[in-house]
Amino acid sequence: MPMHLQGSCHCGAVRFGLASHTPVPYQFCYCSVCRKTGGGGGYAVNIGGIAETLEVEGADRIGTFSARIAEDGETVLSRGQRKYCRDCGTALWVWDPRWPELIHPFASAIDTRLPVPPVRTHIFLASKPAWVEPDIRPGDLTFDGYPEASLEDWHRAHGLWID
Amino acid sequence: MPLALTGSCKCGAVRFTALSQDPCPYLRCYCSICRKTGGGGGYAIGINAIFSSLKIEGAEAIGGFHATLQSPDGKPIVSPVERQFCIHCHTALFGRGPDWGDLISIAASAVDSDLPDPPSLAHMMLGSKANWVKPEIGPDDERFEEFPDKSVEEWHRAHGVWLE
Repeated sequence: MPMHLQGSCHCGAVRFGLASHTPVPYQFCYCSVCRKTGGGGGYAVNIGGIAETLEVEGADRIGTFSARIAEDGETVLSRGQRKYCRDCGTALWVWDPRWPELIHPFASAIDTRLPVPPVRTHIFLASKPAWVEPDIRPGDLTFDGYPEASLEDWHRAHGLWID
Repeated sequence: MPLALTGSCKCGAVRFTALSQDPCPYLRCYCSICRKTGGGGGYAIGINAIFSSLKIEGAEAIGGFHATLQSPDGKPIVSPVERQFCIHCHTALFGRGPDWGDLISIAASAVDSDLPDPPSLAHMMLGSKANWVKPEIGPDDERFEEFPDKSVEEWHRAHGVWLE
């Protein structure tokens, strides 16, 4: 059975719950959007959830931000919708209409204890500033941009997918 | 000489410059406020700057938040520190308390100019970290369950990296 996750912003205006097959916080993203809007140590960590199971209290306090990103040499508006609490600025989750069945909560917004990753994947390392020195441990994978494996592939490959 | 910093939020609505005498991003804070409102990897990093040197473009896009904390006897206390962020893209920007004199804390992640490489790190509020966060503690790093034993200025002076 998928794992149930409870989450909230810091001020408590937004509380949410959802089910997840892929709750391991193993993927550290150093892109400038993650870093600036929610990854103050240099990176943010998204996990995966099942969009249709999302239940939200305080939805009227949620703001949406879509970043301008470079795509094929042009600046375009990202289709990823980053949801945050308008009262305290907490990053909540990312939802993209191209994959409507998926939702990607920030591990930092989750209050439920999460499984500890056996190894980690560091992505968008080409976008990090010099002062961020990634903590790359034995067995970790590194990518300048996107990783090879999806969250589902990675969880299945490591025997951590929760059916 | 103090270091000139330039920074911005992700969407560009807020841009700022400031001078800093203690700009090393050495202090990782694992408290729930830092983690939730801007430290998605498990911790956030604030650096100090001279408040009177701060120049902001787009100040109207800045929102403020005072966190509610629990006192040891379980009563809620509203933090006197205001944490400021961009209301359009929620990038964490500044923190400032009423008794901080000419100091302001700036989220290192909002700074666009280069920052000095810290000689070692200090990890604070480790007692509040999330279970899945596994801190990277170097051989010379200091660790604190709650607040560190030195101010940011004292740490910079002790490590010979204070900028006169």
